[in-house]
Amino acid sequence: MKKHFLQLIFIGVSLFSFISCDESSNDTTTPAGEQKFVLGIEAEGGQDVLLTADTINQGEISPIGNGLEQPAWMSFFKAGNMVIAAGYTSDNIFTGYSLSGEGGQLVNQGQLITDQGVYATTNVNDNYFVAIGSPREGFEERTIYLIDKNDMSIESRAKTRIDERREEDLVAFPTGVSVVGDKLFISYFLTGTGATVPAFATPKAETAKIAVYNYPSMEFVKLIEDTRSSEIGRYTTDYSMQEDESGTIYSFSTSSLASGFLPTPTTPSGFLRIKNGETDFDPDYFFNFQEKSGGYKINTAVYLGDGKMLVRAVMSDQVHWSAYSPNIDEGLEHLSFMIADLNDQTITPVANIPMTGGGWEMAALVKEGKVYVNVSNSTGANIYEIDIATSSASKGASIVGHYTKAIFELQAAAE
Amino acid sequence: MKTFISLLISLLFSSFAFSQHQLSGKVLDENKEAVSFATVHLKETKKTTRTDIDGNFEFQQLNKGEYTLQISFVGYEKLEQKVKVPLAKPFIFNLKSSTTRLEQVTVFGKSEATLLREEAYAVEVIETESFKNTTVDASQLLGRISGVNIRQDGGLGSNFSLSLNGLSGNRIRTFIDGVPMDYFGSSLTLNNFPVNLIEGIEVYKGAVPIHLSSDALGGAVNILTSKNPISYLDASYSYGNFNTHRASFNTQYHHKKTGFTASIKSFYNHSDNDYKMDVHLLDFESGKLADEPTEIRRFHDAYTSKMIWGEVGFMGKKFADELMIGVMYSDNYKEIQQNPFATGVTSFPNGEAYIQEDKLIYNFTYHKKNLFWEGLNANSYVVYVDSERNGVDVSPHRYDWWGGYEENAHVTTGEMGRKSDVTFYEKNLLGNFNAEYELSNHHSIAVNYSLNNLSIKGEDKYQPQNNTQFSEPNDVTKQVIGASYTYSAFDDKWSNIVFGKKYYYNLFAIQSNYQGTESEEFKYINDANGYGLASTFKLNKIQFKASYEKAYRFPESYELFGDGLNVIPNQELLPEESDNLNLGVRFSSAPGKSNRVFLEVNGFIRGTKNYIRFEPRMNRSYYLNDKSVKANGVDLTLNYNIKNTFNIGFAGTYQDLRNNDSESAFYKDRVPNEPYLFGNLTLSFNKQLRRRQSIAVTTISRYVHDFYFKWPSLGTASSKAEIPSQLTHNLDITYTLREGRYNLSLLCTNILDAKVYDNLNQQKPGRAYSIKARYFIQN
Repeated sequence: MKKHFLQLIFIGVSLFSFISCDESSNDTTTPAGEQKFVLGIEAEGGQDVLLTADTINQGEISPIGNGLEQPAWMSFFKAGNMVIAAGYTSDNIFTGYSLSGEGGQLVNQGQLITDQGVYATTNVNDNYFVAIGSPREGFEERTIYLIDKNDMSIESRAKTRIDERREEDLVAFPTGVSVVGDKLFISYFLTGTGATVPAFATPKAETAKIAVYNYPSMEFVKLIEDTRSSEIGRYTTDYSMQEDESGTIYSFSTSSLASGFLPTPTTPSGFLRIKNGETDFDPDYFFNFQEKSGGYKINTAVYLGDGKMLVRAVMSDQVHWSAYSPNIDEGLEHLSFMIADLNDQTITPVANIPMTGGGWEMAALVKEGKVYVNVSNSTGANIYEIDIATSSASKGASIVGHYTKAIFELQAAAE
Repeated sequence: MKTFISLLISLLFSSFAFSQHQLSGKVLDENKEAVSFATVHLKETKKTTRTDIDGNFEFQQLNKGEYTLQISFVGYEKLEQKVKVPLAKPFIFNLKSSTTRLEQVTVFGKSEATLLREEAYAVEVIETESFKNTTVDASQLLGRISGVNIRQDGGLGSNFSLSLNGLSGNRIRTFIDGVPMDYFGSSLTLNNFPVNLIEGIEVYKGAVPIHLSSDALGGAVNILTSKNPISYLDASYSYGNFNTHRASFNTQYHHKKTGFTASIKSFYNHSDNDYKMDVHLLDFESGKLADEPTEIRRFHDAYTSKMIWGEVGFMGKKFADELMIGVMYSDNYKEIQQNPFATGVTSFPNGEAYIQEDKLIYNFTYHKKNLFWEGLNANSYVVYVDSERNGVDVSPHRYDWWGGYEENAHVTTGEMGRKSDVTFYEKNLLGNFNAEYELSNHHSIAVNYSLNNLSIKGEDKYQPQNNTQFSEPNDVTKQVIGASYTYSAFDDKWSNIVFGKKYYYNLFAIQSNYQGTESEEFKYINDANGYGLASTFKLNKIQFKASYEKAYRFPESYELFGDGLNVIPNQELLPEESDNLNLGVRFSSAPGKSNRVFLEVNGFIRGTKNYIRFEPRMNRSYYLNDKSVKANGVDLTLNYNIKNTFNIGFAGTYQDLRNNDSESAFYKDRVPNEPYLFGNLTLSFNKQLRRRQSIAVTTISRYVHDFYFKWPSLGTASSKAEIPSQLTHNLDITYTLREGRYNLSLLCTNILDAKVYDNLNQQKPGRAYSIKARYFIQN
């Protein structure tokens, strides 16, 4: 119990740090450069390093004498053919890196500073990236930053309160952002300001909520809510809302105490969607993951293509924030991988992969019919390669350090 | 006050009588050089005078007859000689140099300091007499000792830490007259402690005597304040750049007959710390930092501290050499320009956050030599500290580096993070009881008991986590029982100490989650045995020292509980455990030479388990345990003195602190954010001028080699944050009139205006001047 409590505290501590959101980008220019894996690794002592690797399905990946030392506890986002490292050093700093030169070195492409901490991001196109800044508690305007990737600068800011319910002491905390066509969607949960409802308590979590804006004017359009499932995404996930090949947005709802919702929502964990061109939840679609899986809940889901999602599922939903410990004690891991078919609404557990500790973000790279993920506990971390078609895994590279925060692939710009 | 001053004056200028004859003479040393300012006492008449710059002295209005002259001066053996008045011609007196004239910090004389040094412990002693007139503070004095490195973040009042032979922070305990200094709070630190108050500073490298028996882990600094049973008045004031004022007023009245003594020690320090810095200014709209830096002034970094300490009691009586009770009030205010634990300069400086602290301290001190029996000495103190500390970070305004701000730009947060207005109430009881007994000339034993109980409670107007955590008193009790045995042989040429310590530790703390909605009690009870031995052997001009200690250090309150603003608690810190081995050799050239050499080399090896290290992480900084750290190091001191006029001193240290945990990915790495190569060079020139005037010019150059901010092997070398090498030069000129009664001193720090950075790459002050005037009178 003591251990748990401590973890709880340290999670609380780490909640302070902010995070990420990345849509697997589909705007790949294909220059004739070299391809490399880029990994964000939390090394021993909680020190972050951004490094490159030629292979991730075998061997050892080490930040010792390798990679770029990061100034603070960072979040890593993919922004097209660039990786953005964001963290709080003396300010909230975003640094863009791309691969360059013969050896495929990570090269700093510029920095910018935001006044608010950023908790949700998405890559829009070759030029723009959107980040949602938010104070951590209390009634205050949030910021939609439109970021020009070419020179890593803020093109514009739009202020929004998303959803504020003063009489109930509740305020919206963003979990994800997605841009489809001329609309921008922000998923969020309602949480206390600390005045009467404690910060990060989520008393209204039993419905799914999204705020809709026009893009790029960032004008507020409306709030939409769905009673079939709980609040979308979770604190600091990258994958709250993801677009499929047809431009339909799929969102996941965790209904999970372990994933940070307190009290535990009573509505089931599952997937909702907004069809391309629509601004409302599709009333005819709900994938009740909790029911179909026999009682498990989604912690994070990553879109794999062809209507399939990789789900990191909560197998035991007993302890608040318990899915935020990448290096949870061996034997206490309670997250497991499954592949969910959004169309058939079927679920297949991934074979040959151990249970894992969770984390703030979830490292996942989809490449050539495989998806690469981080599996970690108190004894260390490994990358696992999951074959999507057969839903079975094999052990990949081992990680020297605590865990893998992000796995990307970048292409070196042609010289 | 007036009456007191007139009393002093009347004591000084004692009455005179009518006589006819005079007695005059000249005092020379072995090199036939005049000895200036030697004290000449005419025993029969109880008259005292001093030699002038040319060594001459004179007594007038004497009756015919035989007199006894006593001539003394620091650094020389006392001379007693009978003379007949009238004299045929002026008499020449020759003084012989005493041994060990010159040590680390260029002070002369076989004094209490030397005696101390010659104990078996590896102790360095700085006598501060010669620094009292300068504007330096205690930390700058210490910085001149080899093995000592002082790191200071910014201007007056900013964070600073002292490291000694590879151990830093709290491993090196600092004491004031044997009382741990941390309990005086931030108003009273080495960094602002006026040098006027200080009689001497003992620096223990390695084993620490049991009377300083708190849980220092291989080093201690003990500041000795003036304890002489005399009456004096000492006032000084200094003014410098950045609107820096430092005033100190200290006085003591001692009535010889009754032993009644009353003293007041007080100081006031203030600085705006508005020094210039180079900042890449932020264009808020675009989020871009300017390519070129702009020179700005810090605007919210002021610091003010005040202290007044009154003591009454008795000195020099049968029942007590010293029996004093006192009350001290101190108060400390510090503005926070930016998060002190952020790396680099922030784009959004603070304009309003501050820390304020008040302390009320009651102290009782008792010292008695030869209590009940000849050879039984008792020393004890009890201190009770009642303090209130308030940290406030609530401003919703967003400041820029020009001091302007946008109103209500972040209404829900403070300037560094969650809004916080936290007040801690601390009650601290400290006691130390020590008895020594000299069994015979060569054997003595000592026992010691020390107690340290801290209870901390608090509330925060904004943060529920702080509120829950400190809703009930968190309580730490440390007790140490120690005993030692000292044995000397071969005419005291060889002396040895063995000692044992028993430590008891008892912690009760409350842990809370972020929201403050859940809490759990945390209790930790532990005890440990420490022991050690120290030995020294003198062979003519060479002295060898060795000590070994198995030592423990239990976490300090701020390591356990944080500061409520930027340092979060870690109640589960484990005690540090270390094996310390020190070896030293010291050479001083024969006494009496006009050019003297002093050389000392110390080596040390320490193995530390559960090394407590500070991990700076903005407003989530904390202390953690590194499983195993090994330190090897050597420090070197060289001093060359020419005719008491020129002095060249060099002190250098290389210390190799490495992660010694073979399981760790950073095995064999240097401990991060810790300087490993540093030194200083001091050149000084002292000249006695006519009419009891003197001038001293001192330059100090300090060098710290670059080091990594994080574990060295993390990432590639080119990507790593590095604290650059720094070289700074200071110049100090002190002019003294009337044998030190009036003093004027000018200090220039960082003469070359070098850009220097602290351990988190925040810029430190450039060139700065200060001037100090001091008046001192005693009887």
